[in-house]
Amino acid sequence: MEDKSKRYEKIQFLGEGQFATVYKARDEVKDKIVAVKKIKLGTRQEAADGINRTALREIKLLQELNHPNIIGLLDVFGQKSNVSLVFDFMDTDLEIIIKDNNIILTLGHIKAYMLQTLKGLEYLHNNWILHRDMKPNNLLINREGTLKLGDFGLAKFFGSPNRIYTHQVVTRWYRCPELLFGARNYGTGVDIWAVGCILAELLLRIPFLPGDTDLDQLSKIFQCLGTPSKEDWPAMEFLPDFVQFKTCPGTPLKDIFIAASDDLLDILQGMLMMDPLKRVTATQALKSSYFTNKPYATPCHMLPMVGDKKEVIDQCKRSQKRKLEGEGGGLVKRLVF
Amino acid sequence: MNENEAVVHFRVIRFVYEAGLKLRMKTIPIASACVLYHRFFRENKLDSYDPYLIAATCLYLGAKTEEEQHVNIRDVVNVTYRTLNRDKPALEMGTTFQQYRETIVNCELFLLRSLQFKSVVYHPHKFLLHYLKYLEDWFDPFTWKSVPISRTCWALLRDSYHSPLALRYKPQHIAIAVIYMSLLCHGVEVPSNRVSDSTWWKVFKEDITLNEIKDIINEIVYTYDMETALQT
Repeated sequence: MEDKSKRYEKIQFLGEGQFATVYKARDEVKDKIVAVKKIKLGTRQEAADGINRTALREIKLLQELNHPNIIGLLDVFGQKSNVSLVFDFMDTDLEIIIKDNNIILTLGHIKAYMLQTLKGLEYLHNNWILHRDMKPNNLLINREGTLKLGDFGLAKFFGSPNRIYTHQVVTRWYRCPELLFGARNYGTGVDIWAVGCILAELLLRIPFLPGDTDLDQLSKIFQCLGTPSKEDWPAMEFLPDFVQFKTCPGTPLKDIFIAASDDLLDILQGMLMMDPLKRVTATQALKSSYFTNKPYATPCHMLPMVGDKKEVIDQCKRSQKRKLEGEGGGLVKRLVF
Repeated sequence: MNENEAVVHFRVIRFVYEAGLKLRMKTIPIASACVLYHRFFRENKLDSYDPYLIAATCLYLGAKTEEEQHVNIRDVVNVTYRTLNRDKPALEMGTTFQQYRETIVNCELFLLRSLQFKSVVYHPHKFLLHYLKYLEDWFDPFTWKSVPISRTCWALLRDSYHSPLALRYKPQHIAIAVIYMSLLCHGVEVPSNRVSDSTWWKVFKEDITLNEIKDIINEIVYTYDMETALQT
């Protein structure tokens, strides 16, 4: 076994998360910039359990996937008691783009980001994989304007009827109503709901439904979109953590997103359907007239790029840190690069 | 692989199945453990490593990659120790236990590196299930119920992991060979197979040949011969 740690020369420390440290590095063999994610051995308890399940899951899934809108796992290597994953280097992520006030996002830009996100997601879903952690800071963007889905630590195969899944997935603001009601058997709808929230966030430039607790999240959803009736979502009352909310009429989407065109509102409405069975699929969304109507999606290379705006990145890091602390131990959060 | 090595691997896989079942692991995670084990010894010499340590580690890794959440390192250490040392009392919490545990954890990383972190395994099971469902429709219900074709298939498939069969043949091909062998054992034929333009297995998978089916069957028969040899 060759010593791979020599192949990748560290250039810069990029960040640190609960599970890993990430470096920007140069691949000496291919003369290419990459990101190296070194999995921490963490606590003594974890070291005693061997390789981290999250890391193993990420390696296992990403090795099987190959798509322009999915982060590429280029290499994996171990040295001593460490495991490192080598990824495509990505300059920034959608959260930073959204928060950067110097960037103006046109409807064409937004369409281009949605198109790439949905293409990546369609590929995943066609391969029976749920991402389960869709949010702007997991949508990584490189200098060419290509968007790739990243962070597969929570991703999972789905479709097996006898498996029970945990509902403690997806960062709260992007979590769909069935997960908040404790559903243990869910499908591709969880990722689609999150994409709907991301689309809304691209339009508003602030998080669409920023709940403080799981209950608050539900009431924010219902206040905004209206409390679903039995007819809207027949299976709702059978979910494990179902509670009756007081009836809210909700605000029509066209009153929240005044500048949005009808085709955009249609696709948004489709992704934010309360009943997961009525929510659109990635494939359906990609076929909607939103993507064929003008304004067309901006070509990748013309998408905005953050400059070296340190303050924006710092601000993002601070808010992430707050989120991390606020999350407590419930949902394990990892690092962004 | 010489005959002695094949016998050792046969014994070790029997240990994998016994320990795996005691750990209440499901079929697929145990099968994955077997494949990881065979993959390791395809690349490495048997006399350089303790096959039982590799096997125990494969069980643990198989449980992890197939999302068998309830299997923890403590149970793996206890169950594998107990299976290997039937006459000794169970392992007490203490230094010996810690040593075993550390050994498995270190071995896990070594195993992964040796496998170049390729831990994904594709099994014939889902294909077999699919094909059997078709076959059931082709047979008349009386014949299908009177011979345990599927049951034999599943038993053959399970036992096939005693040899490194899964490394050399496509999962679809193994599934077909297992059905062929089961039909042969029970002396039944697929209805209208003789008069149809295409043999039944070509319907499932175009690229399989009768020779390949026979090769796979020979290998499975060989593992059963080994079992008989071990008993006498």
